[in-house]
Amino acid sequence: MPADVDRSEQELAAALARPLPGEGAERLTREQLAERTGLSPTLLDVAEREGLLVPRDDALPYTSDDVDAVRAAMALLEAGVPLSELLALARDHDEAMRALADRAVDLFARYVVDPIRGTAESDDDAAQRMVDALQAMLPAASAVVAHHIGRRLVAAARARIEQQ
Amino acid sequence: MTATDTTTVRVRTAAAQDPGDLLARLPEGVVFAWVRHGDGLVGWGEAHRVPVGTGAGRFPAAVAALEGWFAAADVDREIDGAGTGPVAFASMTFDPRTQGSQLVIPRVVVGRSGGRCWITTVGGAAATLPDPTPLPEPTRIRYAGASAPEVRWLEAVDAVAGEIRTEGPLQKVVLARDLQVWSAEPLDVRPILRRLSARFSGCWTFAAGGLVGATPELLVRRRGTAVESLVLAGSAPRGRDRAQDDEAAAALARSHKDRVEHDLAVGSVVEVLTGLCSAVEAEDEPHLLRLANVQHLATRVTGTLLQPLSALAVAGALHPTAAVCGTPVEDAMGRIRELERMDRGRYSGPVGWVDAAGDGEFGIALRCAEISGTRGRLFAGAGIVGESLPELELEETRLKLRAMQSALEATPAAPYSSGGRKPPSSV
Repeated sequence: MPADVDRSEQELAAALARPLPGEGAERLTREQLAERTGLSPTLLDVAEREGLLVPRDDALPYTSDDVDAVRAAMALLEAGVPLSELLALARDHDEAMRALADRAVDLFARYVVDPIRGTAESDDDAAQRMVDALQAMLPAASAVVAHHIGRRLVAAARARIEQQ
Repeated sequence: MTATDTTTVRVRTAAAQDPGDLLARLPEGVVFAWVRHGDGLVGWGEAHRVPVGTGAGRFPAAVAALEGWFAAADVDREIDGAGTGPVAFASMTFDPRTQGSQLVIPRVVVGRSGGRCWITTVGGAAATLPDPTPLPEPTRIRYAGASAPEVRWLEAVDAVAGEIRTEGPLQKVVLARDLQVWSAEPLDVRPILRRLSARFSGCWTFAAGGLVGATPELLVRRRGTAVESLVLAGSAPRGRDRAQDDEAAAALARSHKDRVEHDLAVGSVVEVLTGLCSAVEAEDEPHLLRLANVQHLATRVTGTLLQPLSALAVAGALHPTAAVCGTPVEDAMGRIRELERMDRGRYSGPVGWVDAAGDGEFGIALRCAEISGTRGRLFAGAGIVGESLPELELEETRLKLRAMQSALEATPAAPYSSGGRKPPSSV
């Protein structure tokens, strides 16, 4: 970690390295993920290169959440969606989500982190408040996005049925 | 009159008025076509079908049987030149072991070349041109599955790329996959042909008994003793504007991978032609061939035949090329049989026409579909080398299948890529 990063940012980084509330607590190796999902080495490589799996940069890069996500993707394949089409959709999704995630993190920095910095009584206080905010916001943001895409899917399916 | 006389087939070629769009004249039923920039041949009906077998000798056997039929025909022609007199349309399976090759002499053939037009009838068929037909309403095409799951194909690509990186002697394998479609109405080959021809005017648009497509690659053209082949391998996308287009072309010219692939393909054609011809010449440097959605590295190879081999025989000698099978050919064919888990049928096999003098033109059946009633089978392939990433090859074949699907459906051509990551190759 660069030396000029202040105390509160170190705390934030440490919090991000731990499982967050709502995140699968069990940490897994690459091999364990493959074993539990039945994902072939080829598909695991592809999913990582395509950014569909976002491993942490350590010996235990995955969590039990990743197992659930992979199983869900495999269910889509088994339902008959061709892999190539699923990958193309996932690529577009990943691209859109990267941009949105960057903006969301920017909002966090601008409207949560900066005000805490300006008002905190001590470094300890600032660090604690930032970590609390992060731990509250991450699962909340994930829930909002998951809920929204779920609603969008249902609405799109309804619209398609009404059209026909 | 002897018994032989009564069975002699009469073939008559007459000069004709310019019929306009040749493809618009095709009547309902079995149709044949080989058209580029409006010139070429179209045919319909079936006057005679030459049985084509399997195995290494299938081309020479088919040529011998066809020449026997040509020799027995009673030919009367007002004009001559390549494509006049009796003509056979051939479409051969990719794998010599598989059945399904077709060699058919249509009842009527209409041709146009260098401003001349003609109509040839076989066995007393009427020498009248049907009126041009309007394009019918587009048919909706629905997905019906594939011969093998795409996950298996992805894994096959990975396995082959790994083998090429680590063990000899494989250098390249072309792996193909298919997509099956259905429609509520019977699928008509004719509007598909016309849409392909409009969209890919620089390609040879072909049809042969249910097989319909457009190919940019000329396997062989024979005129007398002169033979010519146009080899395409190595591709880049078309840019949105001139600058982007030129940039993509420059990157293609510099690309080591594309150049290696191109040189392998040219090498395999030169090697075969050297066995059949004197004065085999290949252009020193590939030139750029620009199509609607892609630009290719192209090299023209020419030679002079040592013996009067028919165009069909030369096509048989050249097939399969590195561009559709791989390098070395025998090893690549073995991997294709093991890993593709489907019969390619006539996809990536020679398709074209040959006349009684042995002149003719053959391409490779790429960018094509096999139509049968309300069902269709679309094909696409990708050349796998050591550096290939399976997900990019899968995406390339997805885009090629999309392009073919949109020609079937009459929907606007899909942009070449959602992510813009890899250009489609000719396969």
